Amino acid sequence: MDPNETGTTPTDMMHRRTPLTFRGRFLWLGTSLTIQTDSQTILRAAETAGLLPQDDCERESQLLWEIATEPSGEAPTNDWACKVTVDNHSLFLSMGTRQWFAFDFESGEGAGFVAAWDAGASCDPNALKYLPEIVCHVGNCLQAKLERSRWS
Amino acid sequence: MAVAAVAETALGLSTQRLLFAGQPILFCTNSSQLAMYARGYLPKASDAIAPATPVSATITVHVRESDELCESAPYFRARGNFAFARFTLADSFWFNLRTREVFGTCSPELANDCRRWRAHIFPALLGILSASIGVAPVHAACLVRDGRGVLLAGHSGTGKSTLTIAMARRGYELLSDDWSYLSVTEDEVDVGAVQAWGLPVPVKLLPDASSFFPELYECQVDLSLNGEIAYEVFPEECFGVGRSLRCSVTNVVLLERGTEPGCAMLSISPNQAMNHLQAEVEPLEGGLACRYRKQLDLIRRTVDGASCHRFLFNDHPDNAAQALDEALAGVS
Repeated sequence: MDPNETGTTPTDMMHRRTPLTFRGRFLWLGTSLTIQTDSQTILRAAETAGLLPQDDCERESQLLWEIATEPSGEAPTNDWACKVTVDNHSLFLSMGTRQWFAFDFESGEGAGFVAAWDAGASCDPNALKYLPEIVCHVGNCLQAKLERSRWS
Repeated sequence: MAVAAVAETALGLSTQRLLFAGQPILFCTNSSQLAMYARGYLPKASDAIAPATPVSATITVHVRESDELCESAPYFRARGNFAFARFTLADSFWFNLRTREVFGTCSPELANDCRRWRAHIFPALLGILSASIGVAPVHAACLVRDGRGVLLAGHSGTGKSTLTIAMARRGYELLSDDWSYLSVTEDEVDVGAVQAWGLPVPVKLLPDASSFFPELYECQVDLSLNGEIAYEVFPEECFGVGRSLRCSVTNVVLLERGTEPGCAMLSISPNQAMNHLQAEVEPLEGGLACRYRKQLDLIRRTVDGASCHRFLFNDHPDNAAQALDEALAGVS
């Protein structure tokens, strides 16, 4: 955690406070989802992943995900595999060495970091792979929990 | 292809109730090695608090075969209630700070690396978890004499660790050379008081410290977690100094390198000490904002209950330690 290396202040060593200035609201699995991010490429990737965009961005949603991009510093490589870890309350997705997403089943909150070769590009290939992985695995877990609650 | 690991179905987990900064935490693992390291690293909770006290947090580490190399690759990120830490290519640690749960996986090779766990992994995991369990990490060394603690705060590069070792060689017990943890005690000794706690980590000394401490001639410098080349030595073994685990803080000293040769200690207000210590605490927002306020309250209570000073020094560490020791004796 070398602040000099990362360019952060000593009190933001974990990059908590990257401003997320873009906001999109989507309909997904019959529920509302807001994504806050620092790059429009994430919102575009969300649409590509099958989330249905809504107009009223400022309305509160049942699910809130915060996704920060970081420059990859290398040519885009999306040859990573997604590793899934589930515990009692959370789903964790590890996608390569510097990309991840975590989701809390009870609060509906999620957060993650994704490497973007060009965060301003209309379709960053890495983001185009990252979002569908999240949608797939969070969706599977939410549906499985819904099934269990129906039968219990 | 996705690989699923379901923590709750991990078989053969051993669980231990351990104490970090006065807070009971549950450490679960399927590795007898890791269970042993944890037991040797943190005291048993039952030694200090009632068995019925609920645990503040749970750390689960699952050791499993991995194709990844155990090559150093530190990476730490957090957002909202979540954090992610990685030390090598062969591990991952996930934090849900709302539920106060940490879940990690690592390779058997990393599980066998006791030094890395003691020096880097345990302190980083506990440091990240701190805010969510009512512990305030402060960037300050801490020394103890007769149960009375002296916090030595200073920016990186001020010479905290070098002065800390020089002070410890004068008979102070060493609690920490870099990060100390403030917490309200729940045990029977001093209920409700803020105390400073340490972890049994190595002290980090930059290569030029060998000119002051010949004991370092026999040690090797290595790459530390933040990328600095440094000695990381266990002070009991290297310098023969004593360790302390906890104390009440009676003095807070802000260290500053002077431009003129010599040493001088001046009184400062608790507010000045507060401003310095607060500036190095990571502000937390959203659901963790109340935890951050609690951390600031712990620091406020500490400085308000202590004598606060600024110590300017530009001298050999042994001379600076002598001057500081004498000045502190004059205060008490």
